[in-house]
Formats: sequence, structure tokens, C-alpha cells
Amino acid sequence: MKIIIPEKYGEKVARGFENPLCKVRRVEGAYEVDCPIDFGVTRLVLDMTPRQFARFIREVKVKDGFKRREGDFLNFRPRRGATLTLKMARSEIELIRRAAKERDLQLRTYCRSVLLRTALKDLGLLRE
Amino acid sequence: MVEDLVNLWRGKGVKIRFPRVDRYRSVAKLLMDRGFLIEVKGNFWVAEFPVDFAIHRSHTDLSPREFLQFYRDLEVLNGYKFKEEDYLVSVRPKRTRKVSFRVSESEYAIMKFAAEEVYKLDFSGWMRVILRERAMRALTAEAKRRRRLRNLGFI
Repeated sequence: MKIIIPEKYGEKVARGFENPLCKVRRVEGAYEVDCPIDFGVTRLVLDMTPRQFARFIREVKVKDGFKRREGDFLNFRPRRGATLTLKMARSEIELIRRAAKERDLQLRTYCRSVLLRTALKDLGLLRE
Repeated sequence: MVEDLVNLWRGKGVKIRFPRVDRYRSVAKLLMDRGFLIEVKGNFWVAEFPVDFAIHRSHTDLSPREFLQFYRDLEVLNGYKFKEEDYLVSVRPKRTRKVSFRVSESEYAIMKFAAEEVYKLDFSGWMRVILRERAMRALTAEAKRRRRLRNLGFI
């Protein structure tokens, strides 16, 4: 997913998007943030007033993904273009379904988050 | 709570049955120590477990010949048995259910890389191992937490 931030917001705003997974680079007239997973920023981190934040949300563009505002949060989600299918035993599914229920998550959301978090942690890209 | 967890998979896991003879007593003890549901039914021991498992000869008191005989005597319901070398018997439940979920291409690439480079496993095997292990860990922790609360009189 590529998040394109107009150049007028300056490097300071673009740097607010930087983390071990998201790389910021400058392209013609904009900053481009390359982000492989779901990502969110808050209005406070970007140091904007509510009005500035609303305008920023309108002007920021997302390629291969979606943006969504939730109050003072702006969340980005990459387009989910791949479907993973896994065959399991009934007993295994029951265990996983219960673990998902304990966390108030749907089975598929639980599977996605557990696998991704484990992969990121094992690759040293996510701290506890 | 632990009883609840057992009820979750009772009757849905893989069942094994082997003759109730003295030489297989060490196998029955090994399975019991691992937390299997094990029962005596007539002249057989019957054990049930929710996930794949393996029995290594070195963990039993069986000689190589007795271990091969054990493999032949072992009956598996709702699953398969297979021998890997002469000292390891693996049992796998039938995989009859499918789970599907969508991920982005980049998430897929990260997960596949972790599976192949960190765990040296094929991708589907890695997904199965991680999901199973995390679920078991979460449920065991929750069971312990509830037991503690119950002992303290909160629930």
C-alpha cells in the first residue's frame, strides 16, 4: 500500500508516518509512504487542529489500499487481494474459535492477526 | 474451565486405540503425562487428543521390535497414523474443515518469508502450527486465570 502525502504538509508530517515497517521517500510533489500492513496515525502525532486534520484526510491518497477516519485516528488498510485457505481438524478449529471468542474477534480476523503478529515479531519488526 | 476446554474438542479429536498389555503401559503413561484423555475400554486403552502428535520410541520402554509391533497394533479413528523412520509414530487428525481469510499481497509475503526463513516450514504447516499453539497457549492462560480468581473467591 502506498500513502501519498502532498508536499505542502512538509517532511515533519511525512516523518510522523515513519516506523520500521513504513518507509518514507520523496517523489515529484509529494511524499510517498510504503507500508506493507494496516497502519494508523493520530491527529496529535501529526500536530494538527481538527480542521487541518479533516483537510489532510481529504488530500492524502492511498494506492492499493483504503483510508478510514475514526475520531482523531486515521487508519490505513492495504487491499486484501490474496485469500489463504487452510484445512484443519474439527477439534483444532474448535480450539481456535474459542481463543478468538475470548478476544472478541471473528475467526478470520483472529487468524490474520495472530499469524501476522507472529511473523513480524519473529522477523524483529515488532516489539512486545 | 479446563473441563470446558476438554468438552470443546471431546469427540472431535483424533482417537487411538491399542491393546491393554503390560508392554504398552509405558505408552499409556506417556500419553497421560501429555494430557491426553485416556480410558480403559475392555482390553484396550483408548486415548483422544485434539491435535497432531508423535510418539518417539526413546520416550517409551519399548524395544525396536516391540515399537514396530505397537505401530501395527495401533488403531486410529478420525485420523491417520504414519511411521517416520523406525522410531517415530505420528498421528494426525482428519482435516475436514476449511478456514479462509483474506490478506494483502505484502502481508502474505511477510508471513511466507517468516515461515520459510525463520521456521523452515512450508507455509500451510507454519500457519497450522502457529494458530494451534497460540490458541492452546491463550486458552491455558485463561483457564489458569479463572482458576486463580475462583480460588480467591471472585467468581
